[in-house]
Amino acid sequence: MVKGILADNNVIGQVTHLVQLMQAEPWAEFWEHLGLELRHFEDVGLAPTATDLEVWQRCQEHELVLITDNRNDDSADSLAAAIRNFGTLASLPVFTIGDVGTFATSPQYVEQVLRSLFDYLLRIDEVRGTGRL
Amino acid sequence: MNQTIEIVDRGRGPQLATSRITVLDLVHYFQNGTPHEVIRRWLPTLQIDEIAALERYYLDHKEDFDAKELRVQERRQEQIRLQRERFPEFEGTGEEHLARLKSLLEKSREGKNGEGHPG
Repeated sequence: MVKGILADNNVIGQVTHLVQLMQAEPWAEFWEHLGLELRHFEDVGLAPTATDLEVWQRCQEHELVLITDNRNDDSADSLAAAIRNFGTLASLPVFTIGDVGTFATSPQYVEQVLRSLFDYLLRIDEVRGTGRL
Repeated sequence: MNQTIEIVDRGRGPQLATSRITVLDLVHYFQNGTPHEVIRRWLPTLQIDEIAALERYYLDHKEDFDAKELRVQERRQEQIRLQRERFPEFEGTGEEHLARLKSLLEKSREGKNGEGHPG
């Protein structure tokens, strides 16, 4: 089982909002069943300047799913490179909030993100090894 | 904050020396004219003067960052298209979505209850 959610530094506000909704009705029973905790970089010993590779590896070690708005796909230690070079069929996926602009203005979009998250978390073994979702 | 705010490139694109948050991370906020106080609500690890420094850097290299942001959006669209192929989006009302997730929850509960039981 997944132990928690790690909020990337560029979506702390969005992930905090999502988790507040996940812990409230009608979603509380889902959150409780999954037994998740919201974690931040300092909780898992990551520096604020951690590289994408370090963040991804720490998530795998601690059984955490990362939620990010990562836009770096080009560097040698990018998330894409980490997944490509170190990912296995058992690796936990990384969740990307596709449109943080819409997230700020549309409760319907937030609800859609929330439903997708629960959908994937409830069948996490089916989405291991998929990289980024 | 009286210290100089330094923007460096460690391979992920220009970022604050003290944080992994890059200029590109904030470009969509700057393009939309989002007030710095609102940006800080979403990125609470940043100080207002750090956001201002990131925006100055963006404005000094606007053409380059606007093009990068466009590429990010194009990649995201392609990523979403591929994801929909692999995991088709459930079509239905909010209530139907909730019912489907409750069914997944029940399955997950059954799986948990079965853990460690022989046979």
